[in-house]
Amino acid sequence: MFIVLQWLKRNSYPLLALFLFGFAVNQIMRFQIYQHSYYYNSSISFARTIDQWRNNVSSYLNLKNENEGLRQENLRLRSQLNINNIAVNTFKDTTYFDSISKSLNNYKVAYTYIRANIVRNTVSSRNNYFIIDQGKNQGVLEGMAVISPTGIVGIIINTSENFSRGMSVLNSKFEITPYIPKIELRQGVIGWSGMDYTVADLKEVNRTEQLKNGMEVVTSNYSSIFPPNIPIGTIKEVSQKNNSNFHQVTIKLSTDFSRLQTVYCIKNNYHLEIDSLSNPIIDEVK
Amino acid sequence: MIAFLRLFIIAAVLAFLQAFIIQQVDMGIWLRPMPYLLLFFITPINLNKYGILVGGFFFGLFIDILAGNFGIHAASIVAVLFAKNFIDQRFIDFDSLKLQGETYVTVKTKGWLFFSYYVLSIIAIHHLTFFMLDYFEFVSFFRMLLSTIVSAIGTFLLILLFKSIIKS
Repeated sequence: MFIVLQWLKRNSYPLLALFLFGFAVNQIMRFQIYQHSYYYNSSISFARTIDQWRNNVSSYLNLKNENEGLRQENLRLRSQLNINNIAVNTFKDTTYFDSISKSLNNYKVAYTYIRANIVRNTVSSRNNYFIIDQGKNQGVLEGMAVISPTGIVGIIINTSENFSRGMSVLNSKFEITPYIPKIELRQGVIGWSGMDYTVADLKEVNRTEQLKNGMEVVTSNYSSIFPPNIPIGTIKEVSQKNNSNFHQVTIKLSTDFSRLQTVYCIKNNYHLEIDSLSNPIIDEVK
Repeated sequence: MIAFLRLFIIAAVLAFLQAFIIQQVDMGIWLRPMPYLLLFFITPINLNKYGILVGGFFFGLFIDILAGNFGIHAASIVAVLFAKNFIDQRFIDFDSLKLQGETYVTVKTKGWLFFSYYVLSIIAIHHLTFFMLDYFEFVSFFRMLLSTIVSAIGTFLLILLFKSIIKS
């Protein structure tokens, strides 16, 4: 401390001169229009360069996650291809719905994919939404499913010319019926409790079902919005209340909502046709 | 006290002269004399250097306010006073000046050659700082240098003129 004070005392004159000079230069930057704009433009340009460097570095560091997502997506696509091969042999004379076999004569294209980027996304509200950079002009419609390379993301609820707004899985109004392939179970409803953006709750699954931790949960083929077998997550915890007939299941979501970048909007080309058949059934039941 | 009052009045006159007359007269793009620097050549060298620095800063701000320059005169005066203090400490012997009956450098005490070098070098430092802050871009470096040289000569001649007026 003494050394610092001594140094300050010894250099007080240059320090005072520097302070006064700095103050005067500050006045110039603030009030002289030309100098102000020159300084402002230079600082903005400098800040943009720094931002670009930082983005490059963060994109580079994020490559591992992106690669992991792509690997998982590839794996899923490959497994779908295997299923399709079997389908060609088994259901040769029937009409089979598939998204990626446009070239095969016996197939119909059930799903159309549109690639998009997330431009805004929330995870901390009770009802979370996201915005993508594709809209009506690019073919995005209300009610389309949105998935990421690792799992489901949500549903499109509004569209503008070039952007669309979607309801995220992390929303109290979002519900989906899952399929658990290991025990071939299509039961219950998945919803978000609003506490943690990495997990969701699976409710209304009968307690007699043999659910275990680590079981994969995917979209069911009963959904007219989402294609079947899109990952939702894995079972993290299963518990039971004494007086309840249902399991209480926590699911670890396969999509990391805090790092959403690339997504796909999916249109079910037979959505309306399926719905037109479903309505008479409902009417008859009534 | 009378000496201080005299300095104060000269400072005010020089500031008004700079802001309302010299800066208003169109002398071309290269010539922008600033004879208010005379104040620092007639200020006693043995005065408190901190006082001179702070006083000079406010004097510069006063000219800036009058002339609408916002800080350029103040910054260049602070720079020149810092440099002048360094030059005075190394090249001027105050005791020998005092023996000759002066408190600052004059032609009589140091001769024409030294006086010219001394005044011109201090003016050059001031003008270089002033035009650097005024042009504020490196692409105009040679224009800035030419303005500094031409204006320094103009300022030097005006200082000689005003000094002779003050003396008489």
